[in-house]
Amino acid sequence: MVRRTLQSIPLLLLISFILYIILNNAPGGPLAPYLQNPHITPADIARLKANLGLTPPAGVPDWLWTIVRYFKWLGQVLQGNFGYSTSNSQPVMQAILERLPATLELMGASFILSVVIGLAAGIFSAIKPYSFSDYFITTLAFFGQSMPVFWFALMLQLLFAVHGIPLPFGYIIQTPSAGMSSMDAFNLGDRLSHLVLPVIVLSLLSLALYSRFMRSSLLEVMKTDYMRTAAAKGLDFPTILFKHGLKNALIPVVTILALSLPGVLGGAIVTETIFAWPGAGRMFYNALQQSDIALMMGYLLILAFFVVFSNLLADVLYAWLDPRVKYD
Amino acid sequence: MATTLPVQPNVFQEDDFQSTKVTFWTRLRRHRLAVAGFVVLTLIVLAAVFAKWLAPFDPNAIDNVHWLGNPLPPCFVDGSLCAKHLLGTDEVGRDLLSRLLFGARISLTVGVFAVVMEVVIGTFLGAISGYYGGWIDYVIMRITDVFLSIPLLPLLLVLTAIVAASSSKAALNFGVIVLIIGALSWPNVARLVRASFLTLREREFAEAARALGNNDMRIIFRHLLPNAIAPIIVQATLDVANVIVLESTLSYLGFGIQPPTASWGNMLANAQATLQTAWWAAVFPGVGILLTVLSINYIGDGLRDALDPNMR
Repeated sequence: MVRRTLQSIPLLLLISFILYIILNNAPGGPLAPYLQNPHITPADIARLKANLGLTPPAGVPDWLWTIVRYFKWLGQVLQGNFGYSTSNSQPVMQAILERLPATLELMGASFILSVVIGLAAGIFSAIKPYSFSDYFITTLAFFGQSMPVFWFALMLQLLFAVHGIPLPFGYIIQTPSAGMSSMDAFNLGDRLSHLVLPVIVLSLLSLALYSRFMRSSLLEVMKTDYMRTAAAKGLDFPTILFKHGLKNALIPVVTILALSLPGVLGGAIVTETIFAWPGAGRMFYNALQQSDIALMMGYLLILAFFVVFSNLLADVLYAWLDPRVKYD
Repeated sequence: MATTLPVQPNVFQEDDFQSTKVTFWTRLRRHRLAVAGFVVLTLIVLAAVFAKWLAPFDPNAIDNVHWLGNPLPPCFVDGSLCAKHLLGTDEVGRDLLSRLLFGARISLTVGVFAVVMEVVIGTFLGAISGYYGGWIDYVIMRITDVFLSIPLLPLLLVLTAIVAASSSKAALNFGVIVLIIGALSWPNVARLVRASFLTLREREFAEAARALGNNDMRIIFRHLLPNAIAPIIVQATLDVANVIVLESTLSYLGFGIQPPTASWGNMLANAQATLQTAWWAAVFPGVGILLTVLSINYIGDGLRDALDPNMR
C-alpha cells in the first residue's frame, strides 16, 4: 500500500508538468487576460513579460526557459503558493478554500442521496430481475445516464421554480432555484429549500450509475453456490440477501463509489453555474471567462489530486473489504 | 469480483452453434430497445442530412413580420401561427424547428468526427503499446494515466477557454471543437485495445503470422486488430453519445459551438433567459439531445450483448 501511495507522486508531478506546458504554451499563455484589454499596449505586455519572468535570459531558448519556470513554479506550489487569481484578486489557494465548503455541502448532500436511493433501487431491481419493476428502474437509470445535466436542471427550474407544481387544496410546490440562501437572516428551512434542486440535479448521474452497478453486482452474487447453499440450509430470504448476498455484492460497488467522486466534483461545475451556487465550480467557470490561468491551473491540479486520491482510496477499501485480495 | 463456478445449467443457447455473423444479427434483433434506438436514430440522422430541404426557414433568419419582441409560441399553443412556425420561434424570432434540424447536424457530426479521431489515435497507441510492451508501453500508459486523472469536462473547458482567449470566441468553430474533444478522449480506447493485444499477441495465429515473416505493422493491423474490434465498436458507439452530451454542455456554457450557428447546447443557453415566458425554446432542444443520446446508448447496449455476452 505504501508503494502504491509512492507511485502516485510521480504521476501527480507528470500531470502538473503536462498541464503547465499546455497552459503556458497556449497562445497568449499566462498573459491572456491582458491581451484582450484595449487599454494595455504592446509595450505594457513586454514589460509585464519581463516583470513576471516570462522572457528568457539572453542565450536561453524558449522551451528550456519554460521547463526552468516549471520547476520554479513547482517549488512555490510545494509551499502552498498556487499563484495569484486575476479574476478574484486574491491568492488562488485562498480563493478555492473560501468556496470549497459550499461545494462540499452540495456534494455531500448529493452523495448521501444517490447512495441511499441508488443502492436501494439496484437491490430492489436485482431481487426480481426482468420483472416490471426491474425494467422500470433500469429504464429510469438509462434515462438518467443519457440526460444532459444542464437540461435536467433547466426542466426542474421550469417545473418547480417558474411554474410550481400545483397540488390539491391550492398548495403549490415551489422551490428557489438560485443561490445558497435568501437574503434574510439564517434560517435552516430556507437553506434546505435552496439545496433541493441543485442536489437532485447533481445526484442524477451518480444515482443512475450506482443503481446499475448495484444491480449487476448483486445479480452476479445471486448466481453463486454459497447463495444456493444458504437457501438450501433453509435460511429466510432477508438473511440470505443481506448477510450472504449484499455483503459480497457491495465490495465492487464501494470501489465504484470511491472512483466516481471526482466525476461528481466535475459535474458540480455545471450544477453550480446553473443554480448560482457560490462554490468552487462556479468560481472556476468565472475564471474561464476571464482567462484566469493561475486559477484554472490550481483547480485542475486539485481535481487531479482528488482523482489520484480516490483511486488509492478505492484500492484500500477493496483490500480491506475483501480479504481474498492482497496487494504486495 | 465475486467468483462464479464455470459450470451452470443452460449455458448453451441454440445460436451458439451458428456462425458468428448469424448470431450477431439474431442477438441484436432480440434486443428490442436497441432496435427501437436504431429506428429513432435513423430518423434523426435523416432529418439532419436533409435539414436543408426539411427546414421551413433559414435557421438564422429572423421573422420580421410576425415576431414582435417575444418568442412566438408553437402551433399547439397558439393555432394562429400554425402555417408559419410549427414549434414557435426563439427569443429573437428565429424558427425553432429549422434551428433544431440544423442543430442535429452539429451534434451528430461533432459526435462522429470526434469519435473517429479518438478511435484512430486510441487504437494505434493501444495496439503498439500492447504489442511491443516494454518502454513504449510504459510511456504510452503513463500518458493515459495523466489524461485519465483529470476529469474530461474541466479539461475541455480550460482548453476551449484558452483558444477563446487567444483570439476570440469565434475561433471555437466546428473543427476546433472536434479536434479538442478527439485529442483528449482517446485514452479509454487505448487502454481497451492494449488489454486485447496483450492476450492476442501470445496466441498461435500471431506466432504463425510472425513465422511467415510478416512485418510488425502488418501483424498488428491485419492479423491482430480484426480480433480486437468488438470492444472498440461498443466503446466507440457509447462514446458518440458521450461526446454529444459533452459538446452540448460546452456549447451551453458558451465554450462550444458559437452563435449564430445553431447547436442544441447554445439554443438551450439562449432559452434560459426566456424560461419564464417561452418554455418551448427550453424543452425541444433538450428533447432532441435526450432522444439522440438515449437511442445511441441503447444501440451500444445491444451491440455489447450481441458482440460478446461476456463483455459485462
